[in-house]
Amino acid sequence: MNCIDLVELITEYLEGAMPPAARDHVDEHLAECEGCAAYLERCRITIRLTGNLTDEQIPPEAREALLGVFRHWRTTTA
Amino acid sequence: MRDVLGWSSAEVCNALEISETNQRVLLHRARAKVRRALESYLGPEGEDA
Repeated sequence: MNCIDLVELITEYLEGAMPPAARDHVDEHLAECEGCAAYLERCRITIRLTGNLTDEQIPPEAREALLGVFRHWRTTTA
Repeated sequence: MRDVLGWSSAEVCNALEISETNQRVLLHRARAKVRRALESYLGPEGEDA
């Protein structure tokens, strides 16, 4: 198990879809790799936050800023 | 669907008529896409956020 493997397996891990032995390998790697432990935590936070945001919570100025990002995004990722 | 709408994997599988495995692959790609977009939006200092 290395860091690249972990990034590839992160969704399976978070979904609880891994066989126990494979899950143990991930846990072992997480215990000794600070970077991957931080990465996992960041993934969990991102997932939680994407579920928390609703239209009503966005103030008008934030909405405008966000729309600006989306406009820019389309041109940079196309 | 999973993260924004809060659907379960079973609900997504039913709605899209796909397998558990396929659902997971799509979820993985979607989350990776969000992560890449956030990275480029936040810049290097977003690395430790």
